[in-house]
Amino acid sequence: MLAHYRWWLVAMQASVVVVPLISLLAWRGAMAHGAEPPVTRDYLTTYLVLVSLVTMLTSSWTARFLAESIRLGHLNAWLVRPCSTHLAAVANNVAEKIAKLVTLLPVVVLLAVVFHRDVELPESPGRWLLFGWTLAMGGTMTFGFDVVVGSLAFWWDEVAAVDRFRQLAALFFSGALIPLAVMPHAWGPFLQVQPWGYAVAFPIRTLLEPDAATLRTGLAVQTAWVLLTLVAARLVWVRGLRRYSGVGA
Amino acid sequence: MNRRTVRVTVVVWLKLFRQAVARDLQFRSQTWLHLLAGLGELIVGILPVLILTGFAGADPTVRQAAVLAVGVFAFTTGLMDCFVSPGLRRFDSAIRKGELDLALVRPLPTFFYAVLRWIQPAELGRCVSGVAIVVVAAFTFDLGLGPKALVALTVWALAGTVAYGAFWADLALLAFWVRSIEPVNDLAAAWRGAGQYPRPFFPRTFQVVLVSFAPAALVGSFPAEQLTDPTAALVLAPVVVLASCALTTLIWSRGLVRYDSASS
Repeated sequence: MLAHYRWWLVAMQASVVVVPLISLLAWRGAMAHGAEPPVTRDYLTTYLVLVSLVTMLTSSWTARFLAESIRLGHLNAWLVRPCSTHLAAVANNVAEKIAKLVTLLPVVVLLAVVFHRDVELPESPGRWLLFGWTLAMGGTMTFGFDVVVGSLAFWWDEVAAVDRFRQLAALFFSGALIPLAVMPHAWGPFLQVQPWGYAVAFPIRTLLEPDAATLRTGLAVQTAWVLLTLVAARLVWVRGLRRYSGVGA
Repeated sequence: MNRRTVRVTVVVWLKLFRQAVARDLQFRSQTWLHLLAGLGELIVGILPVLILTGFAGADPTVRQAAVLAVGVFAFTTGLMDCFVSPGLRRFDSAIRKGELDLALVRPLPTFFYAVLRWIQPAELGRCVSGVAIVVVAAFTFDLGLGPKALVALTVWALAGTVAYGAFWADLALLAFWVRSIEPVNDLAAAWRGAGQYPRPFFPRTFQVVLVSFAPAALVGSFPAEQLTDPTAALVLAPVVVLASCALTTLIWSRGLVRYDSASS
């Protein structure tokens, strides 16, 4: 189906790349005009070249569909199956990412080629493995959040507004617009403990941080957030199911 | 378009606006949420610009230009998201499902009925925020604005809104040729974000693009520049509007020829 609607995919990926591209050009221009952010030009360029890819790979858009299936009673068809209700959503997310990767990766590579003088990526395979691990954890955490928000439909008719505000917070605090490293120093303690940064900014940090030892705390916090969201998702889902009363359920 | 059609179109538009306001007043909680979300989106858009200009060193004009651009941007995008983009976001679906037929059979200009009949008055809250930002910035930076500067700002902000709306429509009208192009609306919304940043930050070629065929700067940084330095000839504003509308009209008429309706 994605091949059938290929222009949908292309337009979607173009819209994902445009925001960091504008940000990249503006930051580089500002630095050329004498701006002095707390990170190097190389850090900023590498970060903003990679950010669209990481954002896409750790994203999830299950909440809306889950809420709809609860509201309309479509959940019944999944509840009677001998597997997890969320299996289809997981499969959908993974398959969609593979399809999106095909269109997004060439654009990101093109950006990396254009700005190759300022793009610095590690050569150590260990760093790339760590990057892959943090991406998987970030994706799992986002999916857990999505299930929590979607499951609110067991109690509320409309969860679109909650989802919109959650996405707004995630957009800014994940580092999808600008690196968390350039945000005001006073925000530091909050930025270190809030969850969204561990979905986008932290995986990129695993490639950019000169000393891998400094990532240990981040890895621990990310693991804690993943566990917390999975437990919360399980809890909300089980509680919600007890309230569920679809036709035939 | 004769005089009677113009009159009928205006009357219908006013009724549509009244209906949209009545709807928002009826679903008040939803309207409040939209207002809050619009405000949240505005803040999320502004913060990166302010953080960036915070590092811009000793040059106070950069921060001044950025704050003014953000204010103007809020105003123009509020207008666009109230009157134009809701219809454009539905256009792809209207083509795919054949709903455009309903617009074609009406005794009104089809483009008007197909695109401009969807109105979201709650988005006008952003216009108020934008005006407030510009007024506060003008007092804070002690700009001492004259009537010439205010006229230049208003004219270019409105011309920019029309020009970018037309550019967005050009993209949305690709739905006549390409199957399911809905995310092009997200692309147009993302691209206009470039209008919030001071123009000199961008490379020269990119600056030219931003004031010509993808005129994101015309909805933010360019009108803001006219407030502090009204140098661009005002006579150019109608030229920009006419050129962008002419291109959209051309694409519309070509696309309409290709349209296979659901009932024909």
